[in-house]
Amino acid sequence: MADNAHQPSEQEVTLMLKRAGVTLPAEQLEKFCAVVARLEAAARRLRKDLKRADEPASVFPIRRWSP
Amino acid sequence: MTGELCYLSIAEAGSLLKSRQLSPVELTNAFLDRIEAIDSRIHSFVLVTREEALRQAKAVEIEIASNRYRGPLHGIPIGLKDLIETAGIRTTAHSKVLIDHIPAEDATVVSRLKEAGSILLGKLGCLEFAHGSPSPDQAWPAVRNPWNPEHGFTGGSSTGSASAVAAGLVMGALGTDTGGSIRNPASFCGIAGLMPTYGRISRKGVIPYSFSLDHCGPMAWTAEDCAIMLQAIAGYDPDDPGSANLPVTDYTAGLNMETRGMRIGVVRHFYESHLPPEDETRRAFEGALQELTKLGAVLEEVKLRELEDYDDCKVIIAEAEFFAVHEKDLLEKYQDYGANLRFRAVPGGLIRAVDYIQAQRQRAKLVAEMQTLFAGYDAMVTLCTYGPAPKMSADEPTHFFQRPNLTAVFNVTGNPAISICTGFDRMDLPLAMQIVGKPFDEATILRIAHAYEQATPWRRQRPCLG
Repeated sequence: MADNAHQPSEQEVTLMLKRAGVTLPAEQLEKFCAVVARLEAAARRLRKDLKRADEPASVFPIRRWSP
Repeated sequence: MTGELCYLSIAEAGSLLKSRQLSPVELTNAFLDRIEAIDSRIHSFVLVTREEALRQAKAVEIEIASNRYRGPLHGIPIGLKDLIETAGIRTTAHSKVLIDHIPAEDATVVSRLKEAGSILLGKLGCLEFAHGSPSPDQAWPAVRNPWNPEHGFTGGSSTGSASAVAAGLVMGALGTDTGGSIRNPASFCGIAGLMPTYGRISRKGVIPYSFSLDHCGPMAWTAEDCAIMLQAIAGYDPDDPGSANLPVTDYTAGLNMETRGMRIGVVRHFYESHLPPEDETRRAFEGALQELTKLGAVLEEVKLRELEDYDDCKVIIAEAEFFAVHEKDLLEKYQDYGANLRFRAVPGGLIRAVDYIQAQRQRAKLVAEMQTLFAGYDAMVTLCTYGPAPKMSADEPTHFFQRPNLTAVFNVTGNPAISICTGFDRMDLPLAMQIVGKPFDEATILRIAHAYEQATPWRRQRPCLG
């Protein structure tokens, strides 16, 4: 995948993992950083073409509640 | 005779059962014997429900003899991906985390298959929680590809469903699909696998991977058999908040209608701009396009967004939702997850809320654009996978994040898509294409798939398992 410009440091990823409540074995950390970089790149690209009022797909029409 | 019975299609067996030329007990016993003889080579089942299957078969026999024939699934032996809950029958999602999970209720799809009179042979293996990959630390061995059990991975995540159908161990199965988990193993195992429109099939009682992208659907030897299964399970379910309250079409009535004049968009740029497919896969796809032209379809190249646009959206939504589903268990039972799934699951916990929302906003645009493009076409076709089944080996968990697949596009947009066999490579491994339809127009893609299967010899070839 292209655009993996920002490779987060192990320290940054460890902090994020701590916040998520997960401890990862040290031997997996390097590989994990590469995956995080891939997700960050995807998240950056997602912002293209979005206008202020664009709604998310998860918005749904509320239904009448009947007991 | 056992092999002959087990290689009948649902349509063929249904006709024999209806006319009482075939006994449901005889048919069920044939499948149970074949499972016992063969499944140790491919490990497609995690649980065989022998006694319950025979009890059901005897009940069906009495019903049909009493002129209470329910329809084309009455007496048909099927299997369920072990992600789909069954009342009183263990449902594990192929994970040690749920090793003792016995649901109190059937999933809606299971209730509907029971109402149609099908006979449950057992629960089928899958990738752990539909998201892991084969690893030696799991509770069951990895499912093998019946076309070459020593070499072949089945694809994922509905591994056992695809493998069992191809091997003639069930006539049909249900799978689930969040990024290609019905179509990908259907492709590698040479069967038909239908991911219906989002909302067409209830997800109630299907253990979730990603609420926004999960689909449940039929997997069978032919498109016609998928149509028969879809008929039984489609329809509104008030217990599934994503369920669509729309009428259900008659999916088999139009199967033999003309395909002449149908407009089909051909999507090549997905794979041409990313990883080029293997030559045999490309040739098989081009051959399939020629066949569709011979059938009278009008083909035209169509350009969608770049594959990466759909994949970015899918990966952010699916990984965040997966982590949300599993957060509690990941923190409390981390070691019960397979090593590969642990690695795959954790990144979802690092996705920021704003990124998830941007992905859902982008998804709304992708859905709208796709439906606008579809105004000019009855269906679209593209490859299903980049090549035949890869070698079964210890999967590197980072690979999952490294290249976009060709199937997740339609999970993002919600369109129905079916994978069908387009031939075999030099190692006799199946190749496939996917046919994609307009939302809630499963009937059209089933019709095209059926016409293609009737016009080509691929449905006459089965794996050599004895």
